[in-house]
Amino acid sequence: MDDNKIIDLLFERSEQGIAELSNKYEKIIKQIINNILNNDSDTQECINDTYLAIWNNIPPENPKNLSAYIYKIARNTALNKYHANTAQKRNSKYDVALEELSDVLNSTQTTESEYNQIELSFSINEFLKKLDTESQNIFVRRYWYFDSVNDIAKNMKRTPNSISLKLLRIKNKLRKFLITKGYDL
Amino acid sequence: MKKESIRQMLNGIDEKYIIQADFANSKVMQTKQKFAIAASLLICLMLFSAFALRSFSFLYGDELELSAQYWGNGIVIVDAVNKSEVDLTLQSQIKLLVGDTKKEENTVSNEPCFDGITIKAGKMDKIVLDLSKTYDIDKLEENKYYHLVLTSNNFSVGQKFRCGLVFTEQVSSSDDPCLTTLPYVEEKIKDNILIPLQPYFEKNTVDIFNARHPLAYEYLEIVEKIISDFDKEVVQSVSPLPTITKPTDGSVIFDESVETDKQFSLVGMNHHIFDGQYKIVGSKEHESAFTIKAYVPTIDKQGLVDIPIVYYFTYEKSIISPDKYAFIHGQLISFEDMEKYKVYEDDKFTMYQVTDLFYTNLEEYVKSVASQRDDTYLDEHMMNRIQNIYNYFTDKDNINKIFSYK
Repeated sequence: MDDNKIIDLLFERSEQGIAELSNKYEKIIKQIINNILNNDSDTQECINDTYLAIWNNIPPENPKNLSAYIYKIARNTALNKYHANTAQKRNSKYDVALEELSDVLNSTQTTESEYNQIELSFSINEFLKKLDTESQNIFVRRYWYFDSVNDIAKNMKRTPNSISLKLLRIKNKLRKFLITKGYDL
Repeated sequence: MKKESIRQMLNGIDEKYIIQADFANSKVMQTKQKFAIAASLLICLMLFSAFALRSFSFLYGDELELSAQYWGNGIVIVDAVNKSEVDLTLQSQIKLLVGDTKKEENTVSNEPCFDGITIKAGKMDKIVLDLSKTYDIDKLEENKYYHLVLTSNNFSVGQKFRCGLVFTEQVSSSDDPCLTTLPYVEEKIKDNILIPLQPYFEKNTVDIFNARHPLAYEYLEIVEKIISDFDKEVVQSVSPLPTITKPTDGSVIFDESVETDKQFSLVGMNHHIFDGQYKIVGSKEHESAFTIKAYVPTIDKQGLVDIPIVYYFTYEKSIISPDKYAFIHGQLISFEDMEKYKVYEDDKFTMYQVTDLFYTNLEEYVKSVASQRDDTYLDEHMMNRIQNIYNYFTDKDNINKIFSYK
């Protein structure tokens, strides 16, 4: 079903809207959440929380891009759950991806300036803009969707080694870019 | 850079990259889907071979995502995302269907609104439509809500793409919302709002694109830090869907000039993450207040404006206790203090009517909310209607009569 029709149904407070949304997006929602939580029961609970959040937010929200809006809610819901659950076993794709990135971007300083969220957002998007489309996609699949290198390779019909190499180059570029922007690295 | 900053940075990745990476991923299609598209193309080829002189693009309806925004003076900008694997050529013809009737709006000339466009497979593009010479703009702005229809082949079945278009929501690149009217916040409420959060409540967040969301995001980051540093447990509210049993015996009158059986149509009820001043109500972006809204007419009496006036927060009964805290409208408040706001309770949920944490002077508040839109009709009669709705929904006995989570 067309996204606008799904939004129309949600605006009419029809539960059919959630059913249609689930038909269309559940597979990706599940993948995003599971990459972070790495636990089937938590993932299912989090999928339900995501639907509830969407139900509660639309209306009044009228997202411009429903898919991105849903993915963001799913991702944030999973991250909140992940951080709330201190007993969570830290071996999800999210941990691995974050560790991987912080290995390159970690500060040697003991203290760190308080970075403004808006400035950080601006910087990362300015950096992505400089990359070619394929590199943008690889970076976002790895560090926003938290896909594994193997999954990215499979979907892009490339070898895992070539994706790893590409990611390493992107991360080094990012490091250089952030240093020029005045970040402590 | 610490992990938290890295995490924040990744959270800020722009939507366009998220969508683009999603397409890239979904380009590896299942064999089944490929067969389906091949079969559909074959059928279309057969069906339309008689009209082979005209070439066109075939696409499933949900493979072209459209979002249109009115910029005033007849200019509409459409963000189009081609999620398919084929390029799509949109013709210069468009249709506007009136929102509720779906009847096609008449044109005043045959002047095309744009030259047509080809959107590459898996790409996004902007379509700029100039409706000023083709349609009666005053009429469009009067009717307000339309469906915009674009086509790749003379509006044939399967070759047309639709999105909503509101002619009153003009986006202006020059208006800085932060320079317009400041939001209404009572001194005594402000004093109870946590100091680091006070600036947020003093800023204008009417503009959804430039102010509301970025500021809300910043605000939630600060709230998260405050809560994590707070030594007491802060409980998040829940948003179950309530059952409202509206009295049908004519005993409830909000406005005497309206028929008895239509009284509840003057009231809107829904969950909202923002309050009437477009401020975040809870501590998380998905936390919402069940909100009662009073409907008043627009100045031209052709439409309705809703003014949020009563706010409720609901919690799971099993997890609240007097020593735990709620976070509402920038304020931390213990459940011991919340007792005075309690209006409903069953074996699973406890609901609090917390309007006093948002404002206490109804008239001043309503005037302020109404001033944020230039089309709200507000006079003594309307204020009486709003006051009656407020009185009804802030009365605990009434809530217990009509409200249930069972």
